[in-house]
Amino acid sequence: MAGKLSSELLRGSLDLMILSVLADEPMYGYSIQKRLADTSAGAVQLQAGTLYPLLHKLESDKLIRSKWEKSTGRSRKWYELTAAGNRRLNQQASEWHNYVACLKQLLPSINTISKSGLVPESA
Amino acid sequence: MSDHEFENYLTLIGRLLRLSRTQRQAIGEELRDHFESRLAELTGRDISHAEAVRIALEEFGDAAGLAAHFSSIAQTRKRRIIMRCTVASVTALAAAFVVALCLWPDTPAHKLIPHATADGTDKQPAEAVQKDLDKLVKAAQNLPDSLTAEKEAELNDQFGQFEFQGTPLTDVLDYFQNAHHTAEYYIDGPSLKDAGIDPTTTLVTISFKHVRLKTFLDLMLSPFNLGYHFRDGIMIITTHEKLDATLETRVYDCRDILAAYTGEFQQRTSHYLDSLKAPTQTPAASAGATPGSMLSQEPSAASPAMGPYSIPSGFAGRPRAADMPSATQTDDKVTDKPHTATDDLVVVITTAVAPQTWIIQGGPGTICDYDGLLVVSQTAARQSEVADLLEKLSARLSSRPGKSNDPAPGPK
Repeated sequence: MAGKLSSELLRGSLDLMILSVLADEPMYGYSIQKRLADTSAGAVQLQAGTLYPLLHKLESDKLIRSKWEKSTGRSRKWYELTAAGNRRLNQQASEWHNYVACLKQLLPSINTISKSGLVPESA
Repeated sequence: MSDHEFENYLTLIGRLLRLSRTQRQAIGEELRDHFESRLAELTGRDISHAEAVRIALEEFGDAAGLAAHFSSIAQTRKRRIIMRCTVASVTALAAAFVVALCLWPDTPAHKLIPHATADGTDKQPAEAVQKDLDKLVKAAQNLPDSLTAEKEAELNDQFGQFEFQGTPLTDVLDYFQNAHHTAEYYIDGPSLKDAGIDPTTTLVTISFKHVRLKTFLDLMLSPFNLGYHFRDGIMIITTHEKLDATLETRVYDCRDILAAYTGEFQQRTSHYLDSLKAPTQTPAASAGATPGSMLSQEPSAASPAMGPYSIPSGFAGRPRAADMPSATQTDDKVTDKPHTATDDLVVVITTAVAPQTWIIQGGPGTICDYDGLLVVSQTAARQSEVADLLEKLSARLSSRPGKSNDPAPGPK
């Protein structure tokens, strides 16, 4: 992927990204941030100031749950997906796949404009 | 930048967070863990410590914004809990109503349930009736009323320190709610707008070192002719005018007060009332005068003539001889009996608590009894006074060693 994704694009899908990361295994906040950055090759750079309120909101909505553990000598808050979170993940992932499929249908006409400089009659 | 900067940042967030201490500590721990992990990653890339601290701190963003996010999420969670409690209360009320309907004597549903008694009649034994009444009282305690009573008790029992200088009313209320974890508040926008009050620009200047929360609210709101009342545990801020026009009904369990009744007061009441014998007064003439005068009522075509010291039939739910169609009947039921404990209690309440606000004086408030339960319809402020009075009466009666030494009530 080339470059960071715009915040407008990210805004509607951050929940889904976090749920999908937690679907693999329980993680703590910093590791969630790293996983998103690594998996997206740097396109998704979720700041701490955005990540933690989002985690708390998902926990409040009972889509994820947390527990404190002292594994490395300090208390660390781990998050994992709940059954409701798993259902939401599947539902939202399905919606996104449909959305992407829909966009793919539209994208070729946009490519035509940018290459030839012509404006299609429908525009 | 040093690590100390992050501690300062956490301290600032802690001050801005409108959450309990446990929640603030948990958030602080979580953010500290992230900061230290991020710092370790950045310094591992040969970035200077000071620069790493700056980058890591920058990623947290503005402290006020972050604190506001966390507080907002906690408030949403609280609102959901209150909604669930309200739904549970309504459900419990419905269930209690069905149970009462089935168990209460003389209802069609009750007649379906066979009752065996020693004398072979269908009447329920006295203990069973008492149990049913206790169930009703318990059910009444689970009504949304009890949520209000719980929130009012919190305001009465807690104290606080306040210092505001030209602070907008909405900010004062936000602070009050979050600092003391009291009921959520709701501002009655339309009523305030009609009164020309904008809560975002109405400035509060007030200072107390140690004040009861209830008193603080009263003193803080009254200069703006505002007050509050509770509805399902939510504190509604509105104008005095609106409060005076809003009645709420509450049920008070007065059985302990009535059980402690010795009848002495009845004798004193009779003596006192005898001393007030006077020509019948009009409500206008009696307004603001002696307590005894509130018991008189100008005879009208709608109701039979009553003496100056007889309690109108609206009180106590029991008709008086003068109120019956034929006052000459000698049947025990219509004989003019002395005042009962409940009658005297009603007299005490309606004379001690804003006499002019009761129906006998042309006000909106009504009071009637149901087997030791007083059902009072009054404004929120008067309900608080009634509750306070009954609590004091109960406490006083329970600590009374023998005969009461209270002086007979006299004219004000």
